[in-house]
Amino acid sequence: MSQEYKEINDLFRSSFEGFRIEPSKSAWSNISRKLWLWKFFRFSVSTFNVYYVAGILTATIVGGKLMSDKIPQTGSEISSVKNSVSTHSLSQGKTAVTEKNPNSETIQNTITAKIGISNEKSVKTGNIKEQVKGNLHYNNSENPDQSTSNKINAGNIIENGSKVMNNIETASNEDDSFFNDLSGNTGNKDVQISIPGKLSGNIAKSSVEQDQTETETEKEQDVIIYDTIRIHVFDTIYTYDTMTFVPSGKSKDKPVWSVEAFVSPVITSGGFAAKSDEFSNDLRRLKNATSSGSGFIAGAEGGIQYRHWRFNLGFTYAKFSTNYNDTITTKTTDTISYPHVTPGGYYSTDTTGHQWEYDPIHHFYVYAPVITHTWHDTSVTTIVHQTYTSTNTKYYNNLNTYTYLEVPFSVGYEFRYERFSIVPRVGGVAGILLNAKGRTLSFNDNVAIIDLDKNKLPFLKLNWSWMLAVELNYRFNDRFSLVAEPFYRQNLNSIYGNENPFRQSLNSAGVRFGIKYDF
Amino acid sequence: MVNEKQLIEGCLKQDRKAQKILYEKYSSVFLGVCSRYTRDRSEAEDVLQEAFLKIFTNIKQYAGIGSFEGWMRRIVVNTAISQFRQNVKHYYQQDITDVKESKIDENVVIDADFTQEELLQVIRDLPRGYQMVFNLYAVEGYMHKEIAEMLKIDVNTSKSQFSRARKIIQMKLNELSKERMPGIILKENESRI
Repeated sequence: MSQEYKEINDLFRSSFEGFRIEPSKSAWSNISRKLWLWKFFRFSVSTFNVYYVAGILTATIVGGKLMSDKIPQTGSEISSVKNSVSTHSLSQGKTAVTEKNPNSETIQNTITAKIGISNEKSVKTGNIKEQVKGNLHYNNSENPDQSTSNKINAGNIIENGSKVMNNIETASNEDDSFFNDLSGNTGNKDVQISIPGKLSGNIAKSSVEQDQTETETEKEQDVIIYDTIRIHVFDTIYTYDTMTFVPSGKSKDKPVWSVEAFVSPVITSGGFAAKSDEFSNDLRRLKNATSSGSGFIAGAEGGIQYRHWRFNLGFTYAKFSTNYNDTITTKTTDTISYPHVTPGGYYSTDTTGHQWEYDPIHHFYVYAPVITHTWHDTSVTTIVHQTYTSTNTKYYNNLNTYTYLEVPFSVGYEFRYERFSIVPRVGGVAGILLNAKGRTLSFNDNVAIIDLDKNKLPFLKLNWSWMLAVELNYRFNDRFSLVAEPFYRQNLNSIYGNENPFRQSLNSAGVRFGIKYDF
Repeated sequence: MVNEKQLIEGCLKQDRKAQKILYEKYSSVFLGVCSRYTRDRSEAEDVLQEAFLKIFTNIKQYAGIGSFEGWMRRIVVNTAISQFRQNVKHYYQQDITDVKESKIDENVVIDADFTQEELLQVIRDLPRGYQMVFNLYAVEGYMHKEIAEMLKIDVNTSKSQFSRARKIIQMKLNELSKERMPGIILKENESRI
């Protein structure tokens, strides 16, 4: 390499040695955000990540599916059932609609526009025959003996030649059984109309041209539809009985299952309390040093509602933090005494100890004070005391984080107004400590701030809290609701173990945002 | 005061506080490094962020042998090289053009003190390939064989690019000297930097 090359290399190498450029303030926040994403998509037991989200969603879906399987059929599959019926039998229904019976027009139009006829489970192709004369009979598959006895029952569709009339209930003008049959689901009813309130008695009149006293034996051919025929009023599916607040289409006497996935930002305060006066000064310092932190809770809950009452149980992943800002000033006084001073050397004793030096007079090593000048005296009787005082100030600015896997449970009471509902809830939370990071006070020898040891955490594994919440619910369709829920939680126990001389409670408040699905 | 060992342990635990301390300690130094390999500050900061991400997510690979700062510095340089190679097609045309337009006059003498900013600008004005080779050879101290492997080029290419880079730098430094001291006497066949 030529001299010139070296000179150029040296010029740049020396110029850029220690060359610094301060990065912009946003650089760290960008790195921090990317690190969070990296951490979120990487599995770790102690951090909330995408695998937890997937687990919660899976649990929600599987739980929902399991619960929905246990719920009695309620006519939830409106559209599909409607289609199947249209294929098989609505040709009759359409005929009925065009029927110009002034008395039956009201209900028939309603049926055309709003009503789907659902035949659950077992619409059997071919069972409905064309040019049928006679009644459409209800066949209770669970109780075959009653099939024939219910031949004139709600939902009978009678075809009389080319005329098809909707003889929903011939007895509707006579008693209240019509409404019971329509909105309820008891007995052998084959018609279920989820329309609350009143229905005109015109329905009964629509069958005026049909001999209502006709017996089964008079019919030439019956159309047999197994199980129930359900009729739902789609336009009113979201209206609610003003007396019971139970959604139409769902029996007020049956429980409604639901699941909810949610996330909630929280603010946390860590309240300290001493168990005795012994550490009152330290406690005061702790209180002054501790300020509110933040955190989040994410998870899913399953719920069951019976009339107004709601019971919830779930799993959540919760991460809380508290800020700890403290200043500790330590003064150290070091007194050094010189009991003997002899020419040619010195020795000393002090309270903390310094380096040893050789005493040439007495021929042994002694403590020697660290002083900047050479001390010399010929007297052997002089005793010199020298005191050093040093002040050491330490600033602690620390964020303690606590990670819990929690099981919240609660009971609530629902007040509903149209699509909105308010559910005050009270309950408890059992939290299992997964991890904690940060610092704590140690009382072993002196009061000192120490790093938390992951393998020897001073906290209780199980943490109990009580909870008060107000769920604000907006139902935007028959199944889904948006939920916003302010809540407050307070520890029932100290997060520290009993051996600690003080208590600390992790109290938190926040707003939970979620989406709820009713089965 | 947190020492380096504690910092590494904190970063191994993905402790954000330790990561921030490490970042604050080395970010300005490494941004200086990134600046030499990039065209402007924005690009340099991109490389810096990418490099720190690699440092924090791959810190387990640091075996504890050798200088930790050296290990991080290699990551920073490699990140800059990766970014260069990703954009190598984009830069290629520009390099050729610059080479053709470069008129190297070696018969000048440089007699001036240059600031870091001036030298940085000179490096940044080099064609991109030359910039990489010059940095790696002249400043980082890599051998041409190592540079060839890193940049996936031929050893002779590395050597020729360094030679051309040096001449362009020499020319630009002389221009800078002339601007500062118009009356400077230029001696033929003598170069004094």
